[in-house]
Amino acid sequence: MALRHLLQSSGLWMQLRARPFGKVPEASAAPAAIFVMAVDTRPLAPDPHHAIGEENIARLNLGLRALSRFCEGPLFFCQDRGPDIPDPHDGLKIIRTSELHPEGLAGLQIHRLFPARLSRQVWDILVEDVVAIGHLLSEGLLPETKVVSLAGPGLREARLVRCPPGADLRELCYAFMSPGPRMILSGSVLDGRESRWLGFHDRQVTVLERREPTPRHWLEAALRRASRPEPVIATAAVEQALGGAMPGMALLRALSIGDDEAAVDLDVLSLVEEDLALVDYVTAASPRFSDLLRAALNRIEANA
Amino acid sequence: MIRGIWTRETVAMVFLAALLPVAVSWIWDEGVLGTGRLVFVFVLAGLWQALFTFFRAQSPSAAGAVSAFAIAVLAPEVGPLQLAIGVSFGFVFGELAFGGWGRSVLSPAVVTVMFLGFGFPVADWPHLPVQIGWAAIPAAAILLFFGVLPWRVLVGALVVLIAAGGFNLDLLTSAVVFVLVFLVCDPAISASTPLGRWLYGAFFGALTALFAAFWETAPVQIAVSAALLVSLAAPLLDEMAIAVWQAVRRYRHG
Repeated sequence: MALRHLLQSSGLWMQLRARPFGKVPEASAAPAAIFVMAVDTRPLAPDPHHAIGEENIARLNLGLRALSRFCEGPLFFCQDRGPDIPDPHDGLKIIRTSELHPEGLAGLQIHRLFPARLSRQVWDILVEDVVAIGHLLSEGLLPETKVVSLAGPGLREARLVRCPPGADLRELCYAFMSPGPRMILSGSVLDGRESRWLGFHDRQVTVLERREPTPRHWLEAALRRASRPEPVIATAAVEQALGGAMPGMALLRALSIGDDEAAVDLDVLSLVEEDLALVDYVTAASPRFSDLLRAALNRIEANA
Repeated sequence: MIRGIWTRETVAMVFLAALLPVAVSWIWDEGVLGTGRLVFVFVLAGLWQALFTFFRAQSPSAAGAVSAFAIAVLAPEVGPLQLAIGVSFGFVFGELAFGGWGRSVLSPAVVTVMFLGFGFPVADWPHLPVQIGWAAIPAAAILLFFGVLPWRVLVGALVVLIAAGGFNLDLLTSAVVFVLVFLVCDPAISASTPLGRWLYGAFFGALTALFAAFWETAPVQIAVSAALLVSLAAPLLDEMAIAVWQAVRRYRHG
């Protein structure tokens, strides 16, 4: 209880994310399992090994022990195919994931190993925040900076920087930008959004070239303004964008027609927006499936 | 933000590209008469797509050209008026009324050919030359390379067809191969779950073998009839596959 209060008063509690619905867990909630993500497969994401480092292994182990006191169930540690990062202890399961996106998304691993239900919360947290918990417990201090990667076609060179949370992105990127109009996204190119400040959960900044849409001939514009958007065709690209883990097209259809009951049966409760960002990219779908997912989750939460 | 390329029209363009080897060999064989028939079906299909674009703001698809070619190849030998009625019925009630390619349950080519086959039973079925079957192999290779063709359907159907034919290739006539690659393996029509796709392909193979064993008729009619029945069964096969997936997950995760 004291540990819970310490995390809540220090603000580290905010780094936890509870599924279903992908929100910060309630103060008294208890998860059935916790996933610690030590992989990030999103394009141009920083390698989590930079955040762990040799000197932080002891803090990581301390943080993991603290987390395992929150739940009765297993604590999953998802890492790359290298040697085990944390020391083994009871209830800790080490999961090895591939380096290809979307394998490093927490949603996909939760869907495969321990699906979230309305009656069963699953939390996930990034490994750097577990190190911060260990830091807080061993030294009584919070780390002041986090490792953030600056990358993208709008920069002259990619950088890995340590910066405070909520840093000013223009200030961070200004020195490395190539000339021309640019767009700064907080987050990856798939699920980031244009922002002036670094997002709360984000560990990467993507700088893209800003392209203004070219004006179309009025006839072409009129012909393209369809009453309904084009449907998604079930190609291998769509299957792989979902990790091949679930009946993907059935899930996408259930989301696009707003059939929440079928979506719950297809394990939509284990997913949040970032898990469908790759599908949105691959199929250029409109409306975006991540927006449809959020709408479906909001409806399910309101009715629960 | 950046957007990917696998929109509906990209898939349709890959299908058109894969059609080229088959189109060349078919036009080579059929000559001017066949080309005229192709242009006729093409114009009519384009007309219906244009009408739906103007009156219902439903964007047209290049996949209509693939269907039009399949109709020109597979339709029974009827007069131009009958062909026009069949193409109109197939495109409007098979595809456009449902919202266009990607939202429909049936392929307009299958609907047209079966409509003409049932409506004008005395009309002769076309005989597809053997080179069309061979030309379908590079077409399938192009589609598989781009991941557009559901490979489970293709493999499932081929395994059943070869096994049912007593481990020789007698059942793999040009008509069956063409219908399999371009109509049965259409990703918008076929089942979408992995298990559903295996079942769907195997079901097509089984129906084709069954019809060929008990039915003295042209291979085109056998193949298209099997294609019609399996595409009607596709949603059921998907439901079954999803039920199996859910049962396995209930067993594994409680």
